Amino acid sequence: MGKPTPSRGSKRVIETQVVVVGGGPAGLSAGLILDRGHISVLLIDENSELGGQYYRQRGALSSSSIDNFRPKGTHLVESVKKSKISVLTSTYIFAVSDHEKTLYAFDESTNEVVSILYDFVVVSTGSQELVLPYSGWETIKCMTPGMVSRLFDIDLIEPKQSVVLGGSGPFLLSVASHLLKRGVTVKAIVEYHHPYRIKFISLLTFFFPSRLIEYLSYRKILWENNVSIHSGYQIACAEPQSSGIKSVFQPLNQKSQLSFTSDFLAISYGFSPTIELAALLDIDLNQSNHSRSPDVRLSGKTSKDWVYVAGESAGIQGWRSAKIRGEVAALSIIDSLGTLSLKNQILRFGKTISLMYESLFSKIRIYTFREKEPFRFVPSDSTIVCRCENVTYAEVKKYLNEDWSSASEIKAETRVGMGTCQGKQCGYALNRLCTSPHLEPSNKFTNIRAPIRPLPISALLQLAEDPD
Amino acid sequence: MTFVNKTCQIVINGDFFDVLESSSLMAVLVNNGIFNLKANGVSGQKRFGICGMGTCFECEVTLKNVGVRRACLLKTEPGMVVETGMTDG
Repeated sequence: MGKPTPSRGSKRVIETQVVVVGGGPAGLSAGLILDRGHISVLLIDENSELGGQYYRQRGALSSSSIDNFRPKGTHLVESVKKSKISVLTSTYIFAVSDHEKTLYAFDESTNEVVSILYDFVVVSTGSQELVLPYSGWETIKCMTPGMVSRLFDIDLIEPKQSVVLGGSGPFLLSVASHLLKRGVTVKAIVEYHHPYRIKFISLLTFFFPSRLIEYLSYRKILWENNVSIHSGYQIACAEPQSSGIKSVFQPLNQKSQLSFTSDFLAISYGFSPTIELAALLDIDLNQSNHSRSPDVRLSGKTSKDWVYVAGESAGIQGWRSAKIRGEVAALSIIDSLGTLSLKNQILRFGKTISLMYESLFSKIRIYTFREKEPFRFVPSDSTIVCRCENVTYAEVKKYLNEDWSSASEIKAETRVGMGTCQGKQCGYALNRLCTSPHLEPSNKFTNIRAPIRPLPISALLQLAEDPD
Repeated sequence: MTFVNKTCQIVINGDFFDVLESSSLMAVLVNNGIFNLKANGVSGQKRFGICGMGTCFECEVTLKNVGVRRACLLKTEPGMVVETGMTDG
């Protein structure tokens, strides 16, 4: 860029001691603790309303007879709104400064770029559902269980419809029972593994009575509604028909295939942490063959003193853990500022103990659902791998080579992962296509670069006006 | 949660709708049978969101005088003019 232009009117600069990115259970509870500690907090969320996915707020309702969804979340959101915390909704981070503690955000409600100068950042960006492409998954009304749950539970769409749930994980049971409570017909739950067979590890859940009760309550609702769980099947294809979506599930052993017709089809294979911002902030990541997560200590600390990660973005453990992680990270920040009172030290100790208890449960879950094992991914030629760029498996196959084909190479050759969502939906599929045994784990993922969200040209122009 | 039980008028694809202010735009679209939210930029195929949380960008709609926005993140506002089924270029 040439000389800086004098007009910088539209760019906002916000200075804060702590910026919390993500207004879900972790971000909300972190913000409240910091605020009580008299620390200035800016809480940012991409949504137009705070709450994240778990505490998503229903918005205005046509019928006042329906209770608010998860009232504890509503209470948390209200507490944040009453506090001194500055809240920026409809705003997302797209870049970070390499040399200063600055985040660049885009405010969708005002079309402005916002520069945020901070001392500490709490990354509480949550998680996203893992999807594996199957033939026909681009069909309208094929989605993730998270979305189907949102449509019926939050958006309160007409419940006299039917849903088939598939993929893997305990989330399928939770979604199914919520749907049934709203009067939705759940035709079946099709689970990839066999997690519901009683085995030795199942006995350990007796140490987690609240989870056991939760699980049994799901099973009771499923049983009352005659919903069967089919284990050991994977979705093969979905096909739109006049009566709904026909879904075909392939058995993983010698059984015969299953087929259903429903209004909605929802498939996902559990969750993975949203790591884009953590990666941009250049903190150390843990890399295995099929997943990446930030390297986070129990305190929320990372490889950089000023970056804390809390909630599901620190690792998948559920909302209880997310909330505690938010609180612990906030207390650790107060501690590093040298102002942690004795009362708060005791609080942090207690929270850390409950966090360890939660981690133990998530270990049992990982073992029960065999989450460490990669799911089979055998796409048909016509399967769309990258939805945004509409790239089929037949096109990708031409560039797959046993000896090379890193994620970046496949991306460059085929445009998989280059579309609007920037590889967020097809990232897991791309990772699974890199089957070469010669590849380092790091080569099975693409590099994360700014902007991590697509930006309007006007935003780039505002940035260009910045003399720095 | 503040319940603004106030109706407002919005326009979707040229039709007028009386909706509750601050309700989910996604709910309004789906309850009116509008699932064709975005046309794929490459194939033109009709698409509907799959994630419901802002990551898939398949529910992008055009708001007049505002720009392209993800329907799943929006709430209804008086005078909102929504166009669906457009390509993202």
